[in-house]
Parts: sequence; C-alpha cells; structure tokens
Amino acid sequence: MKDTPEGFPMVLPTLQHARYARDIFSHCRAAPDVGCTAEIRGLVTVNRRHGGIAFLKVEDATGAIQVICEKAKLTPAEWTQVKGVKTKARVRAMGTVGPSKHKELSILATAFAVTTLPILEKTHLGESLQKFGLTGRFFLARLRRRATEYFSGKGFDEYEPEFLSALPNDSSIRSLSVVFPGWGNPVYLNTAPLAQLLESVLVTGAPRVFSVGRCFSDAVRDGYTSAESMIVSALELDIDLEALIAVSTHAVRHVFDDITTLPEVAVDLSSWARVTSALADIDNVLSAATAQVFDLPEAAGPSGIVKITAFRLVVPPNTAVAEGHWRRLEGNTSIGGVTLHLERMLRLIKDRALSGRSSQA
Amino acid sequence: MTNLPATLALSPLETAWMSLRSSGPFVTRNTPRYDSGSMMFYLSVEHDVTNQERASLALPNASDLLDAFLVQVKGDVDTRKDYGTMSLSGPTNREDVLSIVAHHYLDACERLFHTGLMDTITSDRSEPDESRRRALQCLALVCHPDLGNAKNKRYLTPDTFIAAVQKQEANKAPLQFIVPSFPFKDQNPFRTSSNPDHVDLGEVALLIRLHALALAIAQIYPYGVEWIIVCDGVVYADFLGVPRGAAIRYRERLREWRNRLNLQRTVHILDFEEVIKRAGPCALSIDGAAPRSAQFPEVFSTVLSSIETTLLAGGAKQEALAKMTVFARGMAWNINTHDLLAQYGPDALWTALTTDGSTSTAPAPLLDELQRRSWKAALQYGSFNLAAKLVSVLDYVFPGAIRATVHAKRDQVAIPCLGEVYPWNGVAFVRAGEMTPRSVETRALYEIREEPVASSYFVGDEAPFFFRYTGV
Repeated sequence: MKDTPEGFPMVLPTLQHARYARDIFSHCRAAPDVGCTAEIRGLVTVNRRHGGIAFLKVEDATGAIQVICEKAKLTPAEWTQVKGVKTKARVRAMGTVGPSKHKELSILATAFAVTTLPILEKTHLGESLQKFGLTGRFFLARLRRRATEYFSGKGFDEYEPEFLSALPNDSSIRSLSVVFPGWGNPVYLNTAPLAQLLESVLVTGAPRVFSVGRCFSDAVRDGYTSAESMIVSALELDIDLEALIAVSTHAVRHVFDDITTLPEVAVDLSSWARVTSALADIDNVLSAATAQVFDLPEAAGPSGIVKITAFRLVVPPNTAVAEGHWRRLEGNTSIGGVTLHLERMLRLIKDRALSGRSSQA
Repeated sequence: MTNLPATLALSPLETAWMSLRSSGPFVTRNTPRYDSGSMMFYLSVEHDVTNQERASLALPNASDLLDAFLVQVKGDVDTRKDYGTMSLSGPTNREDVLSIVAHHYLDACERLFHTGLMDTITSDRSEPDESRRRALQCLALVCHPDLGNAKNKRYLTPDTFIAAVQKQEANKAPLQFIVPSFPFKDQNPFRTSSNPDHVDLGEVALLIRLHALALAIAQIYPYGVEWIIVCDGVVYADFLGVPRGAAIRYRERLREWRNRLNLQRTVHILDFEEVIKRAGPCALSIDGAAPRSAQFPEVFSTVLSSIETTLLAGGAKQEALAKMTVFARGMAWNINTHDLLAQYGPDALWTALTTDGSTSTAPAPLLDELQRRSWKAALQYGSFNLAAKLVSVLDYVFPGAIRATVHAKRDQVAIPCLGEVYPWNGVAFVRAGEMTPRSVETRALYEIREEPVASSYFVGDEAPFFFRYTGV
C-alpha cells in the first residue's frame, strides 16, 4: 500500500510573481512554459561586469540566483548603482525570469537598488511594510523597546511569561492548540499573560509588573490583530481608574514620543511620505484619542470582586491602542491593568504613511 | 473512514444552527465583548434568529409561472451529440491509497498564499478608499482562476458585489457565501460508479477549494469568511429516485471529510430541507384572493400543479413543450437509472440517453419509462426551484449572505470549477506528476473510459476515491 500514488511529488502551484530564489526555481520546474516576474532581495556574492551588462549572484534566505543587469534596461540612476555595487552589498532587483545566454536561470532586471546601508535607513517605510513586512518588524521592536522603557522607568518589574500551557486557557477567548505529533494531548498558546502577571503580583507582593510578548487567539480582536499579536500587559495594585487611564495614555504617548529612536526614511523616494511627517500626523491623532469606559456588572461578584470597569483608549478613526480594566476588591483593595496593542500602533504609522503617499501620488 | 467524536462533528455555525430552532432569518454577528481573563476586547461570533416579517407572495398567473419555469430551466438543456457506443467495463487497474492524498491537495491549495499570488492582488492600491479597495481585492480573488472562478468576471457586477462586502464590513460581520449544492452522488451509471452516499476526491477537492478561497479572502477581509453549503440532496432525493437516507449519509460524510481536514471554520454544511423549515410560512395570494398563511410544501405543490396543468393539458405553446422536452432529456441524465441498466443493459440505456426519442433505436419500453421518469423529475425539480425562488428561501433565512452558485449566473458568485461536471455528477480524475490546485479534475466516468487510468481505493471501500491517470 502506498501513501500516495506514484508520481505525486509536491510542487508549488502556478505563480506569477516570485519573491524568493527557491520559488523561482520551483516555478520554472513546475510550469516551464509559464513566465513569471520576480523580485529578490539579498546579498551579492559574485559580481562581474562587462561593459553595459553586469552579472550578479544574489543570495537570499532560500538560495541564490543570477541577476542580469543591462544598462539599456535600467534608469541611469539604477545603472550607477549597478556599477558601484560590491560583493557583500545588499541589493533589491525586480525583473522577468528567464535563461541567460548560457542557459542559467536568471532574473533579467528591470529595476535595481542597493540597500547596503541598514535597512531602516535606506528602505522606504510604506513600501517595505506593504511588500515585505521587514521594516514593520523592525518598527515593532522599536515600539516594544519604547513601551518597555516606559514601564521600567515607572518602576514596573518586568515578568517573563510562558506562552505555552498544558491546560486550555479558561478565558472566553479560546486559545489555539499546538499539536506535537506523537505526544498525545495538545498544549495551548496562551491568549494573554494576565493570569501569570496577576499571580506574580499576588504571590510576590510586587506592586507593579508588566510583560511584553506575543499572545494568541482564535477570535477576531479587531480588523488588524487576530491570531497572533504583540502586546504589553501591565498591572498595578492600589491604583484608581483615572490614574490607570492616565498611565495608559502616557504609555501610548511615550511609545511615539521620541521620534529620534525611530528610523529615518529613504533619501530619494520623494513620492512617498516620510516617517517624520507621518509621526507628526500621529501626534495629532493621539491628541484626538478618547477614553471609553464601561461598567461590567456581570463580571463582578465572584472571587470577591466588588466592581469592575473596563476602558479602552481609542484613536481616530476607530483603533483601540490600549484597553484594560480596573477592579475593586473587598477590603478597599484595587488592581488595574492595561494592554497596549503594539501592532495596532504600528498600523497607525503604516496607515498614515500610506495615506500620505496616496495623497502625494 | 473513522468516525470522529461527536463533539467534532459540527462546526460552530452548525452547532448554533442546531440549537436555534425557531424560524426566521439566521444572522451572524461579531459582537464586541470584553474578556477580563485576558484584559482585552474581542469580537465574539454570535448567531441569532431574528423576527422579520416576510413579504407576502402573490403567485403569478399560470402563463407567467410557466414562463418563469422555462427561463430557469434553460441552463439545463442537454446538448449531447453522438457518443458512439458505451461499455461499462471500467478501469480494472486497482490500487490502494490513504487519505493523506486529500491533505496533500489541501497543502497544495493553501500554499498558494506563500507564492506571489496574493501580492499581485493586494499590491494594487490605486483605489484610495480602503474599504472599497478591500472589496475590490475580494472581487479579484473570487474571479481568480486558481482560487475562485474566472466566470465571475463576466457574471458579477462589481458595484453590487462591493456593496455587499462593504455592508458586511460596516457591520463588522463575517463574510458569508451561501451555495446550494452537494446533493448526493449522481446515479447515472455512465457518470459515476458508486452509491449515492459516496464522497470521493472530487467533493473533497471542492471543499478544499472553497476553504482556500475563504482563507485568501480572509487575508484581506478582517472579520472572517465562511462558506455555507446547503446540501440539496434530501429535497431532490425523491425527484431523482435516490433514497433520502443515502442523501443524509452523503451530507454526513461531507462533514466527516470537512472535519478530518480541519475546515470547520471556513466551511459549514447545512441541509436545504432544514433551511426551508426555518423559512416558516409566508402570506400566499393566489389569483388575487386575500393572502393566507402557507408553508413551503403548499407553495411547491401549487406551483407544480400549475405547471403540470398548463404544460400537459394543452394550454402550452409548442415552443414551451419543446423546451420542456429538452429539459427532460437533460434530466434523464440525472435520475437514478440503475434498475433500467439492470433490465435493459448498458448499450440500450446508453442509446436511450444519447439519442432523440423519436429516432432512437433503443427498446420502446425503455424509452417510454425513461421519458416518464425524466418528465416527472424535471417538473418536480424545476417547480421546486421556482417555488424556492419565489419565496426567497435563502435570501430570507440568510439575509447577509452573498449568494453563490454552481451554475454561473448574474450577480451570484460562481464557486471554483474542477472540471466539465460537478464533483457529484462525476468522478475524481487526478493527473500524475504534480499536486497543484489544478491536479484534481471532475469528469464523467464515460469520458475516461478510453484513458489509461488506475482506480485508487481506500482499503475496504467499494468505490474508488479517484481515478489516477497512468499515461505518459
């Protein structure tokens, strides 16, 4: 008995536009008669130039492919970059895929750029977010660092939570199971570190704690964050609701506060919005933020909770960048917590940058 | 196939459907809720049955009803021509397979997202309005030949589709596509070789294609995307000579496959008979009389009776009769003819099905019986669909859902197409060499009789899961 019939190798389905060397080769094996275009980004390992034509070997995360750059097919600015390119330079090339004169599968470049300098300084924000998500990841790390700075500076102890649990999270947001083949019952990705943070406060007596990391859910949280998202969770004992909202607001402002920690943008892409102008816009957006407060009588009662009030900090048009709740327990003890949604904040930059680009285009 | 635990047998939407039993529109909402256990708001998917008055239905007069009947059966006209002789000696080269082949197909379809396919669709940002841009990108996906159906380019009005998507997005509601389909395995012995409750790779592949399309749209549309398949086998079983129990088993096997492939969030399977019950009564007015409450079976029998009377009692024009004759000839291909096959043999039945009754060399008793059955089935099938259309069963019960269809038609989303016939009207045919979204085709059994194929079975099954091309 066979697992699958003979002649069933897995190959990639038809694609029109490849972004990785591996996909280009797979495509050409699977559908040799169907042309494709490609955009590759990687490191130059070989560099040969003969007059008006250059042959570069570009290594990306999945393999290497030859990029042929012809002077006649590039703009003068691009050809200048080709002429100046060195091995170990980082480049981005776009073009059609086809064989070279020596039958080597190659990208015949129609656009070319050297991106050797740190990606954030040479790559345009909007373009990168849109096409690669690379810059988005760098930005996210910056936002995370800014959030961490804020809470550490305010005397919150950082806690490292576990994100896998052997027990399904009992919250109303169902957690996602992770199956380890052959190891019986699945484990679960935690929806949030709140329970662990709360335990750390109640057991250690630390008045303020926070954690940063990814949380998981199979529920839709909003239009931007869903299965996996980066959040900051912070808890503080004996804080009142107004102070909690103020802390949340200051934290959000701090994340965007010092734009010098955020990257500069490309120098010659004037049709794209600059991050600085986008951030100036964000400053206006944050000024228009409103705090929405909801009493949750149905959540009070068990476990000695006398009153519980939820809140969220909403920036136009309708993005909740921070949300949390404040609980008054028996004996006049209170505890408040906030969740900062870093990816929604990132989205604010992206939206502003891209809308800026649209208006200028 | 191994039965799955009962708790896994139903999808979340199906569970809600089963628990909310009152009649009325079934709506799905994303309701914002706060989860104090995770300190975050989230959108909770909630289902409800709402109270909404049904519009009263004034039944058209007999002539208009017949016209409406003939308009909707136009697509079922049989255009088959000379097929030569037919033998039932199918492929004898048998091999065993495991169900992992379905997972491989699922993998191949889901891999589409890791190629540049989505980039080509999402990179067009020329539309400045973000919501409209998302709807346009959803439209591009349903028209995409590898994911959706290229015929949608011709049949969908962009503004209508965009408005439907934007309406759902404004309500933060999931995008639901509803499609009546998947009745049971066709019992024409020349098109399939299995019992009516058999589910083969064709049906499974279509479930996967629907899932892949839902996943693709979900990359763009933020509030969830789901397909609601309304199995129409139970309602058609009597018309087409198939046991109701077989249609129910077929539906449950589809669910088993859906669960086995873990598609419970994107593909839901309901039954048309149950949907009709949920539609409840409507105010029916006949011949200008005062409206009175009528359930669907009464509307159906009234429509059927009117059509029958007009057509058969000499009240119809020759043109109408000719259309009906062609429709019935097509319907002869859909009815269960296994008993006729046993009685008259394959050659006679093939001749009867593929030649015009007036010139056919098939035995007269066979032609008479086939004509009797096919006319009856055509009248019932056509009248049923007309009645369902008149009382707007699907639109009423699923008010927010976008109507999808197996037959491409104006402003309905045509579902992915796997071949010349629908999976339930044929067998699965797999080309060797690669596993891509286009690897699985659905073809009529008689079409592959000359092809070099091997029949691929699950151990213990009586019918093949697919036919594998073994030629070079």
